[in-house]
Amino acid sequence: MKNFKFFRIIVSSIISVSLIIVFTDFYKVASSWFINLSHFLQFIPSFLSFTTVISAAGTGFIFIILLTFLYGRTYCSFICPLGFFQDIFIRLGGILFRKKGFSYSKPGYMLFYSILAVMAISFIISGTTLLLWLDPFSIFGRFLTHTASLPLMKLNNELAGLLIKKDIFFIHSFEKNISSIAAAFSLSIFGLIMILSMFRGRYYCNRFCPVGGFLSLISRISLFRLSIDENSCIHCGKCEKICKSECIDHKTNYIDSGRCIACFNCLNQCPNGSISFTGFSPAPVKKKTPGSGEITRMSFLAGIILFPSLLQSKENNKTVLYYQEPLKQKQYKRKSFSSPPGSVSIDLLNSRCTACSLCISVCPTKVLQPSVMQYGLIGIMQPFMDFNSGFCNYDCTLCGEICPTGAIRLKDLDEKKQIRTGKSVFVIENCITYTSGTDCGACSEHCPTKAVHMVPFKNGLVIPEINSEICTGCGACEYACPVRPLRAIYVEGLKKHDSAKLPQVKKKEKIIEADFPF
Amino acid sequence: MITRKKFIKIFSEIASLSLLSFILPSFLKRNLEARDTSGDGAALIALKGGNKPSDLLHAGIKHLGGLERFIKRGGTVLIKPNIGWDRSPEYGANTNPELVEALIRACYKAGASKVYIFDHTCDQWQNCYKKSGIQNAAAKAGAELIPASSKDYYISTMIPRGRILKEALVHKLFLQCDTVINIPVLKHHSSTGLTASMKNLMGVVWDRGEWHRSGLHQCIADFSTLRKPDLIIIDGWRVMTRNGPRGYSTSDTSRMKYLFMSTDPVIADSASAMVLAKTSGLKAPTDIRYIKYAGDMGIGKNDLKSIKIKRITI
Repeated sequence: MKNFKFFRIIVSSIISVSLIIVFTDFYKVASSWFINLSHFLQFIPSFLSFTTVISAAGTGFIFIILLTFLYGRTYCSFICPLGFFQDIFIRLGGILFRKKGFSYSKPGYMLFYSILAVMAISFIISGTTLLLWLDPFSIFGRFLTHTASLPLMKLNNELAGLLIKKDIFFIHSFEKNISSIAAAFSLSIFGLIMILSMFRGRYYCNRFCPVGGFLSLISRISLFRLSIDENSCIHCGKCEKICKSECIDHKTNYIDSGRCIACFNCLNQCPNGSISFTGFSPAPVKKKTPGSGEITRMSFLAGIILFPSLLQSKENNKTVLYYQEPLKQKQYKRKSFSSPPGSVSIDLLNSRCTACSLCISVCPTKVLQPSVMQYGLIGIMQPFMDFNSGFCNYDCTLCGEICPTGAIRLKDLDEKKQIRTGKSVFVIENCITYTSGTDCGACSEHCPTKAVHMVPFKNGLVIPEINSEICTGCGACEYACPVRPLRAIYVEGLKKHDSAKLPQVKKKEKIIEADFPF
Repeated sequence: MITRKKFIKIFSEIASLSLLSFILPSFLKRNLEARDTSGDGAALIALKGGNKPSDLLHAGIKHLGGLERFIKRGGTVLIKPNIGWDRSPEYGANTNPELVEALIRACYKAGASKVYIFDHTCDQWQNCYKKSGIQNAAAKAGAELIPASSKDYYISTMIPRGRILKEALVHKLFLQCDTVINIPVLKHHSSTGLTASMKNLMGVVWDRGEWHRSGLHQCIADFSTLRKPDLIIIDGWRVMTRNGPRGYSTSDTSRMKYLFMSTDPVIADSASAMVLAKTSGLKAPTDIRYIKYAGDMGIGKNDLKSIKIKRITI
């Protein structure tokens, strides 16, 4: 039984490290099957994906429910990556602050289950709007994508810069769009949980986490659980001090199975071996059942976290991120930003995405960026197509292949090529050919369908023209347009995607072996 | 106060700078003068036919008198293909990988110590390298495929003879390698009409948007004054005759089986322009404005009638 803890550390390390690799994979080594495998067991993503489309890929959460029914909340200690990080900080906090260790605390079930209920109700009504703030997988994913990747990338780039000077091209540097708001947002939630964990262990897991709340309902009736043998126990209190869930009361030999996350730390700590992980034993009679209905410091804190999302604004189109100057340019305002292809509509994306940011991490062209106010507060941190940083590759379906929650769903490439996420708008008054009389055509060069094509202008110049029927809104034209601060061509996002026609293709390749034309 | 140490340092700097100013003009002259492409005075070798692109390459190299003329033993070589797009070879948007592979082997055979390949791509670079087949070709033939996707690789360089493009961030390998071989694919281009050798050098600079902003045709010509590639090989095996430079379907291409070799980029591009004459309605190479500008600036010749052409049909 001493090996249980060791086993937990190995399993959680494998799962969390592979997720860390997936989220910080700048070199794009991980293929999509590995990415999908790595988040297969994550509870909320898998549940959401199952509710979107029922498929084998989304059945991870059923395994978790079964696992919890058998062995308690092993998910929280074995599988959850946020739990893995908390364990590291708990260890750190033990060295720095908690000289005396943990002690049994009153359960905060009132807060715990009311958050769960609020989450469940809000999910039924409006989808993932609230879930986005508390889902452990997404908090972890956002932290890695927007915050932790910054120093890692910086390190890589510094090293690459040094090696390039010496003509060693083994590693290379990356350009990254740094969104300081996304970095601050993800760091603050993640940081708060980590600081809390240094003092109070798995406090987040047992008060706020919606997954923890749900699983604790099941773990109360789990078949296997930790129990203390009354006869051999000497009431030394070591188990209580080590228990990061603060759920062991050594005076009464009580282990609160609703909060126990099956980390097995107490097993190794017990000098007599009185604690065992065994099959069902009659549930110990609770001697104290303190209610906690009053507003505590912690429920106040929860309010602070939840409060902003109640202030959701419906004004999706209020903020345009471009820096504008009163120049001679023709002014325009984008009415709506584009959501990723496969998300069907902005509303559906808002209600299905938990903003774990995995798509933003894997997107090869970096067109997917975390939204700040592009969708309003309701979809904060969810991906939107930012044509400042890239454009959507015509032959790529990666975001749809790996999306853990099924918010972005792309079946195959042929289908994706016909999804229209927006429409290009040409502003001739800003075009270089119009204003300075030179050839440019960067937009048409990049256009994958030739919806943007060049037509004769004057003085032998050519100027772009748009065939809206075959435009998919990939944003290649907007990305390539060299005009600033406002571009001469931009994509107006569609709130609800529709389908673009495929360009007409005449024949196959011709074989002409003519004589030299000179 | 000037100490002895300082004095020596200043003196040596002045000395080395003046020495450089003596050497530089002759170095530039050597690089800017058109060398005979083949031994017998032909400025352009035009080949067609064959079963695969490498057949044409080998025949061309044979007529050149071997790549040894361009590659010094133990020197480094940069092969600059067009790998701009995330397209597979049958679309003709990138240089033919089979041709690139054959060229890499030929370079090593001629005594190159190291062959580098890169392109500053338009689509995402890893996808381009992979799908174009160049990554595979480089791996098979042993060339080093270098990224060009971040600013670290680029060195700010003056372009003294440029008219509007006076300075650019240029990939360090383009400046450093002993030999540069430009091997573009011949394509239609929506805004310039044609993309071949001079336009392909847009892939060695960092800020292409700058060129678009300040006059694309003149910038293309200006950049060719910086360093003339030692050899230009135009891949006209599959020619994209419309919807360039990316192309939409394979019907945009025609299999013409051409290969042109020259040491003069303007001659190479003029020959390429004539290939597209039928489909795009050009009458003379100078209808492409950058070819006209380049001729006017003395970068090379844009009149195909005044030069000697060696025509080879396999």
